[in-house]
Amino acid sequence: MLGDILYVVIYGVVFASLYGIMTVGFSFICGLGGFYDITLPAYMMVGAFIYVFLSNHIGGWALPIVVLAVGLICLGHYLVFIKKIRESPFVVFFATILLALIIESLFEHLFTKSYVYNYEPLIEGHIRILGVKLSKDLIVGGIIGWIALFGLRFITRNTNIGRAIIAIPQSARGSQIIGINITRVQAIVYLIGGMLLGLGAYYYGGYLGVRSHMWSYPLIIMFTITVAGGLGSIDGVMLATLLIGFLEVAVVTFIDPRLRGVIVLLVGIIILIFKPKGFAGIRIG
Amino acid sequence: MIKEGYKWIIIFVVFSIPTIFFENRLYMFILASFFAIFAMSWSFFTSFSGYLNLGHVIFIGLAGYTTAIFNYHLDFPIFPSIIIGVIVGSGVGWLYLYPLHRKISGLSFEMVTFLSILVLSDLVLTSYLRPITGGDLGISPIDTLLSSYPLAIGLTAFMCITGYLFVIFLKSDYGKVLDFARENRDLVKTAGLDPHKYSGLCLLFSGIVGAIGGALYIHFSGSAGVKNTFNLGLMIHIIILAIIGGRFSMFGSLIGAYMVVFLEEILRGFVSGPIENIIIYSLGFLVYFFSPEGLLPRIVSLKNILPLNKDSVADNRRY
Repeated sequence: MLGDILYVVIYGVVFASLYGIMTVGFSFICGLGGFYDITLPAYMMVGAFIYVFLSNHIGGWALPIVVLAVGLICLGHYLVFIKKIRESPFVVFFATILLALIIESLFEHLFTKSYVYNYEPLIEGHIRILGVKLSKDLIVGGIIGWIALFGLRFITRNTNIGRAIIAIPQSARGSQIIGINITRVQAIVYLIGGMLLGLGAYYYGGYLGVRSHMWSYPLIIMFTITVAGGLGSIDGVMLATLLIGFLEVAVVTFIDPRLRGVIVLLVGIIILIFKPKGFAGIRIG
Repeated sequence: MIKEGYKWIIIFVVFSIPTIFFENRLYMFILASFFAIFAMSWSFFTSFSGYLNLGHVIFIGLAGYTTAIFNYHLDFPIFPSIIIGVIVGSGVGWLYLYPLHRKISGLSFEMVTFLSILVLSDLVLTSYLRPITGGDLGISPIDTLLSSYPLAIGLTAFMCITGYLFVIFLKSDYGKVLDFARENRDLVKTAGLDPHKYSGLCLLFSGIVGAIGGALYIHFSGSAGVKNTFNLGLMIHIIILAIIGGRFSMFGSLIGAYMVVFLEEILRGFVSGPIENIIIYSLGFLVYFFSPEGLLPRIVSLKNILPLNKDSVADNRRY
């Protein structure tokens, strides 16, 4: 029993950080715009596929290329589609669902639905922490995740761009009046958020395998964490990633692995109904 | 009301006649009727109440699985199974969505209904429910409604009667309150009316029609599985049909359904399933992005046959 609890705590923290890498970009993009961009997890899937094929040729150097590529894809997505429709959250939501389904169908056509691609981790080997076996690659990912979260927290509190990211969702008109260029800030957030998704793609794809519909479970995770933490709140996201990380590992360990998606989703639905602002964010819609 | 009735009789005749000449394509006409029913019932609630319901397949799926369970596991005959499926599908779906739409609105309502489909599709696939739902394989074989003239004509008649009743409702005093509530809910409350009562009624009718369509569709398909019930792709498909035809009009949703089903049938001969999906989703995306009032209304208005009336009861606001 103690072993199981230690397992949940340690793996919970590691997964929380990995989900944090994926989600913090999603949360900021959505919080800044006041909408949900459902295509973002699909671009993460694209990044995972790019990594699979590039890593066969250039090994670990594929990772920085994937990070940059996904960042640029998300930036392009913002400039081509989102910028035109950002005033209407409903339109963004539905249009991005369609885009995500188009991407999924395209990858299903190119790579078939059921085949799973796997790749070797960059850092091989395992270590034991308090008796729990962890892969070194996963631990490094976890550390990078928490550095990214705390780094973004620092940026939002101590830099002008960070303050602009916090100010815009509270009052877009007020932000424009004081000279904040909303398009420029949103573009930067899409680029940085996209790069974090690219990083998340490597770890998530490495953990679960890469396939043409792998974007749907990360969407559930990202959405639930964003809703629980509150849009645009880095503190909320940090707290929520821990909650969801622990919850998911606890469900897998003590209940049934097949129910993890259902339970995480139900948490998201319950929070949306009873606490739409989450722990510490703003309400949209 | 009588004029509207004549219009729908003409629609019934126009859409029934081709089935006589295209006997070998009866399947296509029947499928188009099913999707027209789904599109009209979705559009009836979403477009006119102001709540973008991404969980309309909850009615379809609950009705579908219920009828399949009664037919397959409990050996009920087909029509009693369908009746039970409709009652359960519309009743349970309404009991879930009605309080939900009273409690939350806007993007939150969209997200919860969207997530609800994902929860339900995950649930039917879990091993706990697999003995009942069949898991990935679904429930099969069940009693099947075969492609036949009675089915084609019957469905077309049901489709037209439904369209007529929906339009009558929307043009009635209830429909007028719904329009005002969509624009300004608080104003309606100030007048002493409960806007949710009207949208709730709309949701109930939408759910009943969706459930009838869902139960019949499952028996036409011959099996009940996640793919033809709690499926995000199916939900998006239904929305695309309504968007293309013009979702602020029952006839528009109907036409959109026929257009897309026939297009898919043509594409099926040339491209694979994923490419067909890409084409349909891309068409839906382009129409929604550039012409949210629908493709057909835009084409018709360009020819000045029926100019878009922005002051009409249903505006072209995107939802």
